[in-house]
Amino acid sequence: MAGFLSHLSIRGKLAFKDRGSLFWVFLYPFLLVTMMTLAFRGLGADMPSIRTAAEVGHPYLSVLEEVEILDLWIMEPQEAREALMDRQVTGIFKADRTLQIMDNSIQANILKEVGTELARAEAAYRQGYQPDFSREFLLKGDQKIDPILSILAMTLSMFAFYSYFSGISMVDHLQANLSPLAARFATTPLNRLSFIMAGSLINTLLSAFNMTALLIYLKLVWQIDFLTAPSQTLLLLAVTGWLGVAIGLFVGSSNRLSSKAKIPLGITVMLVLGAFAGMMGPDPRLFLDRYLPWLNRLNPLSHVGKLLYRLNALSISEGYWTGILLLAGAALLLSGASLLFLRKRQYKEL
Amino acid sequence: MSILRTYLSLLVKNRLILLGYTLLFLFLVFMIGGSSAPGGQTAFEKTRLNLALSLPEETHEQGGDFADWLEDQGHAVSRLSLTEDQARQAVFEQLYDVVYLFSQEDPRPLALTDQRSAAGHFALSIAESYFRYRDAFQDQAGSWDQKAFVEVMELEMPVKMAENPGHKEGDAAARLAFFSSLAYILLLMSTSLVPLVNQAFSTAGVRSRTTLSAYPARRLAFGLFLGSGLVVGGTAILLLLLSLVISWPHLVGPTGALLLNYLVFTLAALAFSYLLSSLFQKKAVITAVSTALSLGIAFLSGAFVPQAIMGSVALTLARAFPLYYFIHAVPLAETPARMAPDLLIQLAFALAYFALAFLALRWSRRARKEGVF
Repeated sequence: MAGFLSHLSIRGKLAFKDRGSLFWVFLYPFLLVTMMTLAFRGLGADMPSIRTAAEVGHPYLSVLEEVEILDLWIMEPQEAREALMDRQVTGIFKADRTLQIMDNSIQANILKEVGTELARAEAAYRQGYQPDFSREFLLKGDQKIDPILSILAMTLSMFAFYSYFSGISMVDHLQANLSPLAARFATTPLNRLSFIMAGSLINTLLSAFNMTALLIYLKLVWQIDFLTAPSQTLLLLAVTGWLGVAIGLFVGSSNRLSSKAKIPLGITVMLVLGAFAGMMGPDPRLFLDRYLPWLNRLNPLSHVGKLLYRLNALSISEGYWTGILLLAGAALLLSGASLLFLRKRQYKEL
Repeated sequence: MSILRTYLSLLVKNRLILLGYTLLFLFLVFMIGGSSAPGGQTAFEKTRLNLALSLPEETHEQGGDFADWLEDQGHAVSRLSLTEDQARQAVFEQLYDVVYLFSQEDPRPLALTDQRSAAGHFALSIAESYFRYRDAFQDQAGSWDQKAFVEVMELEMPVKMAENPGHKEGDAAARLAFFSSLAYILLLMSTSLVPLVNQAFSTAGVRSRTTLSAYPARRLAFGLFLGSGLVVGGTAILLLLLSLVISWPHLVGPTGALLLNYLVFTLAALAFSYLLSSLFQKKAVITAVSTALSLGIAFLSGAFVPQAIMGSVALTLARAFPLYYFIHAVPLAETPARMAPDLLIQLAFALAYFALAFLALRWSRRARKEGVF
């Protein structure tokens, strides 16, 4: 136990001495989250009323004026046409009961739907039927999309995996051919299992601490709340941090690439996986969901990000424990495999 | 030639980064190409909503009729069995514009959608209309005049498109998305590769060899600059060629203006990367700075979401970088005179970055010790 505590202390000190890991795990998330929040704030705002022209003499002018979604401007035909050409209005309700538009858009379709509704009502009344405009025929459930929550959930998921860099750094301190410190360690009776467990624990805790600070920063500074289910969220991020460390250990120990190559490799792979999961907006994710749905099913960033917004934006915890167990299982498996790669070796060239 | 050869070998050494970024770019290009609307707009096109209906049983009459009608209207309809939580998640993830949940208990379906969005509003209004008229054509005994109902529901307001020769708004949006992602990847690759490759010239072995060689210092500095130009220019051409199949429709029309904008931005990216390479010499720092800066600038400048819907603070900050002006110029390509200020500002940025890079080199200890200037 004393050995484990000593390893814990050594790994903690080393973690704070590694400036690369400090940047990627501690500083970069705050920088990027700030820029993303600045950029994406305002997305998902309420749809404004549709600026529409109606020609003088339109038979349903008084009805159109009552439609809430329309910002109606009553104009002479020539004036309305000029407004349409200048894109000051989306469409013109013409006196001949047609709609004139400039561009195909969903707003133009809404205008057409308004006009169609008037035509249908007129036809129904003519046939002696009375459509009831005072009743609600649908139960309306509002589910806000809030793209910024979805984007930030994926970004937080990516940052939780950034403990990968700590894993890479741990291997640097264990394989004698990679650093002078590791060469010194190699001459001591170091218990590798204890050293790796201590390293994984301290780096997971540091990652969890950093993610907590990031969530508090988001909540207090930007009023974006990822702490509606705090204990579950923090446990999820901690387990993800552990898996990140385990991936770093595995990638660090399983091949002969230099650690200077493994860091950009990790950044690039996580950036790509983040983009796939929707970190750069919903379009890439929707494209993949439509054409390559298996890709995000295998993408751990996507899984963690989904769990994050399900917990915090939708208050749904279904699948949470399965997700935690899968992440922990993967972390155990990769840590075990890394131990095999990190078994004692002789470095005759040293 | 030796500088060029060294450059090429260093590029091979950094092939993993190159491959990663190229894959990311190709993915973005195919994603954008796959979602862009082809052709111009001479006729009204109905918006095709992506709808889901959750029916308690396959033979649910009202739900089945509604689904058939929606399909007749040209919408994409998925018939599923979802709980309310699953439906909420599907809407949140934008898998569907709306999910209509039918149950045995209530004749009215629950429509789950984002009511603030245009798609949500549209989805609610078409469903409301359908059920209002279905109710109107039903008598108290429950039987209904299906023929009259169908006749009324087939009515549509005629829509005319106003003539506006040469303008293709749909294409412009896809073009903007394409060039924005292209610029981001070019910036990312340039700011990563140029400093990394230039840094390799300052490593112990290469540095001592070049110092001892018969190369004059000024020529070496010029060679490094040309090498950087080769990397950025080559990357710019390669990215454009790789995506040519998809990018061609976006280039049709104001081809010259778009390529000029791309060329000017390439110069600005080169100058920016060169500045970074003269400021940072450690590999780890270069990787950190290039990733953080390129991604941050891209987010702020509107590479991933249109500038029109971004916050004013982000756009104010973005004005400090040429990417903002590149993206701003793309929709103006139809009238080149309007994009001239953006081009000039990008050029001014390029010149300023070059000047700063040369100053940084002159002031750096390395430059003074080696007598580069």
